[in-house]
Amino acid sequence: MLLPRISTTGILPSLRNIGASGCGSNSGILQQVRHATHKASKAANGSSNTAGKRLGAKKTAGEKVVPGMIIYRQRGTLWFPGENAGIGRDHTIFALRTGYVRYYRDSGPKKRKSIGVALTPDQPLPRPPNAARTRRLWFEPVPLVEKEDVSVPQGTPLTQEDWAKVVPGSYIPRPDNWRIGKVMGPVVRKRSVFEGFERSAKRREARMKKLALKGGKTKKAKAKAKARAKKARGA
Amino acid sequence: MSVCTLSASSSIRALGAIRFNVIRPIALQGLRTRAIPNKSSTEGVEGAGSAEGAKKNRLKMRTIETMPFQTFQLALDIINKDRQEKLERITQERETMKKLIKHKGLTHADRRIVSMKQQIEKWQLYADANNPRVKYNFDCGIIGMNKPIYLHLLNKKWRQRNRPILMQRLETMHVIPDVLPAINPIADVQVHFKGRKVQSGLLLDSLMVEEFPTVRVIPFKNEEMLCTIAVVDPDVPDSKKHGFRYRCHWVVSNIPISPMQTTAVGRSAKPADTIVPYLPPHSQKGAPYHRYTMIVFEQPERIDTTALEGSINRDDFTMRGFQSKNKLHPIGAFMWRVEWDSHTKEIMQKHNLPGWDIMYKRIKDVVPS
Repeated sequence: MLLPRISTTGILPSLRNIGASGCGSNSGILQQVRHATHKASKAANGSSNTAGKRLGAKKTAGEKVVPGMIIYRQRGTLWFPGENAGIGRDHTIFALRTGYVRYYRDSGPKKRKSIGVALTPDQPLPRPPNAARTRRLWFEPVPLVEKEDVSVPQGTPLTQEDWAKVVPGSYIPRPDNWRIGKVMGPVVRKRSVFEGFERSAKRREARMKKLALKGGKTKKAKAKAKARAKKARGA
Repeated sequence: MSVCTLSASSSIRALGAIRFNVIRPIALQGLRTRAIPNKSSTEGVEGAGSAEGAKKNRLKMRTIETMPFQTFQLALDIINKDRQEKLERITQERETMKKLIKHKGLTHADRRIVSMKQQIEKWQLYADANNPRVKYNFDCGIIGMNKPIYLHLLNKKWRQRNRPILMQRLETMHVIPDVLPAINPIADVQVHFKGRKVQSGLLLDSLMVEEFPTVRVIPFKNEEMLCTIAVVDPDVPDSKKHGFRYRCHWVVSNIPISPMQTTAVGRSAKPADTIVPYLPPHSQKGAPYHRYTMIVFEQPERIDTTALEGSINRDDFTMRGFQSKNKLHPIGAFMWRVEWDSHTKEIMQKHNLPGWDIMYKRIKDVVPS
């Protein structure tokens, strides 16, 4: 008996080429794009290339920097801030002290790549862990100058000179606040607060003395004791 | 059944001044009870007395041990029972120790004996840990420094708040890498300038720190030891060096310290040797603030004062060198800061300190082009 021949004419036209071409290849089946619902104006499927952000090193190793100067721009922390270097919100490494830039690997367990600022041209980084910091004194000694003790007695009214004083950095001529405060006369209290404390203390002492003389009980306590005794007798 | 929780009071401040005195040993019979002032208390529960005793009963005090709640009394019984168990164990262990030393010839330095002693100390703590009277005493400031439980509670309280504050001050102000590479404080160092207690890291007035402070060192182990206190200033400006120098302000040695003797320098302190007399902190105008660091060291043995005096140079002093030369071990630290203020000039002139007529002016950095 002959096997029945599977005639291709009986198979649907859409399925005809699937056996030949397989599921993944494009050879037989036409690509269909629905142009009606594809927004051609906006680049939804277009290229996503943007302008270069000029990342990377701005100061090379050994260059002198002052505080605030940016050393490295990056996305994420390719480099970590080392000694005397800080890190910004976009992971920019910048100098915190005047010195010379150093690129090095940390001596810790993670062996991170770090950027630091050495304070002298020959100082190598990293420094030994828990070593005392090297610090530079950006000050010079000069003879002592103390502020003049300018003062005015309480109750001095303002003069034309006072109104002409200009504080450096300001455009408005006005007297200092402390000078304004000296205009009013000295405060004269009829009764000082401390006198009040002393008076109440004296009154309290007199009260206690009275109690001691009377036998240690106030009127209230006496009345209470009386009521209690009555109750006890009644019960 | 063993109730072994070492829970101490947290965040309850001492209601009064702490009295560091000796408390009579807790009797083996039972929990220590406060003497109740009224004789009629033996009758029983408060308020249940007769008409004649009614007046007296009303004046009776309620104490922890006589709280008239059945559950509370049952709980106290459980605690008491547990305490007895622990005390029995301690006596048994002590007897075993004695027998071992006598018959097997073990010494007090032997590992087995040492571990038995440690176990006994632990059980002593567990015996008193749940005692409500102990908790009450600690909260009220009635602390017996001869008892291990109070030392344990003090240690716990210190480690909860004041020690983290001290470590934070030391680390954020970079005292720890600058003065010493690392420190693990195990004793509480309290410093009082002109009678006022000072928190670590504060900016103090130069008048307040003109004289040496009262220093208290509270060790939490029941041991006697000899201590050295050293104060260093790591921020002395040196324009020639274009940096900073270290200056020694104060060194006191051979101070006997124990839980019963906590004052190192002060009115109730035992006599000690001042190697370098106290120099008042002074900071010149314009310069940044100076950090004055006090480190308390434990000495291995008594130090020879003349030798030490000769080896210290005030103006060329590093704490690391001092520690390694004299084989000291740091157990506590303290730090305060001083800035130029209106009294600094007169103090420097009074003590003939050089540099009273100098101030510091900032040098501007040259921006590289």
